[in-house]
Amino acid sequence: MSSGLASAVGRDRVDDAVWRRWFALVWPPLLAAVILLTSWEFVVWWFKLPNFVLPGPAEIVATATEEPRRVLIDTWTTVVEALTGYVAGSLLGLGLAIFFVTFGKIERLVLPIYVTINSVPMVAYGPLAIILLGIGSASKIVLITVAVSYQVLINALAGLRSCDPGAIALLRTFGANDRTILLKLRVPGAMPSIMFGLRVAVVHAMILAVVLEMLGARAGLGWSVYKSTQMMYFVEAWVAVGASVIVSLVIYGIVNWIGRKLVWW
Amino acid sequence: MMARIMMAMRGLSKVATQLIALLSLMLVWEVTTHLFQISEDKLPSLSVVLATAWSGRVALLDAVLTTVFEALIGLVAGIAFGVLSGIAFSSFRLLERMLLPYFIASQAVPIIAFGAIIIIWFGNGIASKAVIAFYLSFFPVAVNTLGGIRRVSQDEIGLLRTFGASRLTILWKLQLPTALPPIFTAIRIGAGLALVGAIVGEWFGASRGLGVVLLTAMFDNQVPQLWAAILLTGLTGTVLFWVVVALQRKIAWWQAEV
Repeated sequence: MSSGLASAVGRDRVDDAVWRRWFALVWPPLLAAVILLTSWEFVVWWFKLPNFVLPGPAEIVATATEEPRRVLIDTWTTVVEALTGYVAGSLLGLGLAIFFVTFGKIERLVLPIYVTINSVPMVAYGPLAIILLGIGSASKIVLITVAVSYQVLINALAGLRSCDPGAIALLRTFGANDRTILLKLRVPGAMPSIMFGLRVAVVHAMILAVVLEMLGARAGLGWSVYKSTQMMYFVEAWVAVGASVIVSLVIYGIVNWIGRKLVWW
Repeated sequence: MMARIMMAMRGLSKVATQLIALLSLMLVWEVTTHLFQISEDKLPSLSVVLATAWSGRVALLDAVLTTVFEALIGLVAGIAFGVLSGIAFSSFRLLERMLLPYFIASQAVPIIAFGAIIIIWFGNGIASKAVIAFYLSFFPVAVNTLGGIRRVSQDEIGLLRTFGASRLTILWKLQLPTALPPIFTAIRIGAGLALVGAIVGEWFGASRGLGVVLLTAMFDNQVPQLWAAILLTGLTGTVLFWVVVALQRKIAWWQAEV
């Protein structure tokens, strides 16, 4: 009974410590956010800025809630494109990396070609993708897949390579075959590097989705920004910009969180 | 001596494989387009693309120079701002804790979405593209400056301090030189990002530049012209990259790994 009580108190203290550490981490950026939003609203009000120069945060939120359906549809379109390309590209990149590590000869043949293709910034392929694949989602998803797979491949290769040859030799003497070494040693060792690639790539995926939509699309946040500025609906443009900012941060946060769960060491 | 020759050889063979890959890719491209008689609207052969580029060389050169100029202005400003904020973050803890999360968040944000608004603010000319290039390139520089300055050990600082060095001397003679290699790594990344920023900035409104060439070729369905612009963009990015590497070898010669 008494020991149960003690452990409950102990847990309480641990929770308290965790909470306090979390708070210490969160208050400085939170304070900066409050300062930023207040001064933004204040500047707009004080200088009576017209909304084509800069609308205040309150006006942007009001416009967004006026017609929430459209914002949601645009956001949904962009997120689906970005995530489809991201997942496909990650799988492709990881698959290629493992394939290359297993068959070194093929890597020396294929990797330089992959590097050459990717030495052109992916956005420059955008207009071509629109011509060949149309203004629908396909053109965006294909380019995002290529860009993400390259990012993931390079980081995964670096991680898989960095493993200690002594450890491989040790496992070999215990009679481990190539597959066991790959699964038990190389992949876990490469995880931090792979996660880094996956984190950078998710940002790229969102940016590419928005940029490519600006070249032509049926729906999406990038398309909404482009259309709104062409028609001089400046507050609508800010709504789309704000939505893309929030969605990107949320997705980045989720990938980060999953990464920390997977690579706890 | 031997080790240096070996390293040079390895570097050379890396460049050689890359060149061989490039040449074989070009060959495969040329042969397949003729062999399968692919239509020019889908994939023009390399020779057609090169011929198109050659006949439009004056306009293309103007486009490249315009875009590179915009990117370089943004990049130089980005390096200056990045190094200064890296120094500021390393000197003031609270500033780092308040603002660094936003620096990181700012990179998770599709800045290009702001492109249209930046054009409204800074006009149709060079300034707006330079601003986008600046925004994309300052972050890697800031982070790597901070990381590089943190690499300096307290012992080294203590030693200089016993010799009566001021904070400025320590920064200039010890901390910044230590941070130079990572700063250059960041500049290499930043150069590519600045180029992308300039091109995308041109999509929102410009009369000259690689972005304009890409966009007009798309609207006119001129696939050979489009491919010429794509290849030129890649070439420009590669040249920028190697210029930064050459500068690094010259300025931070004591630790020039590529």
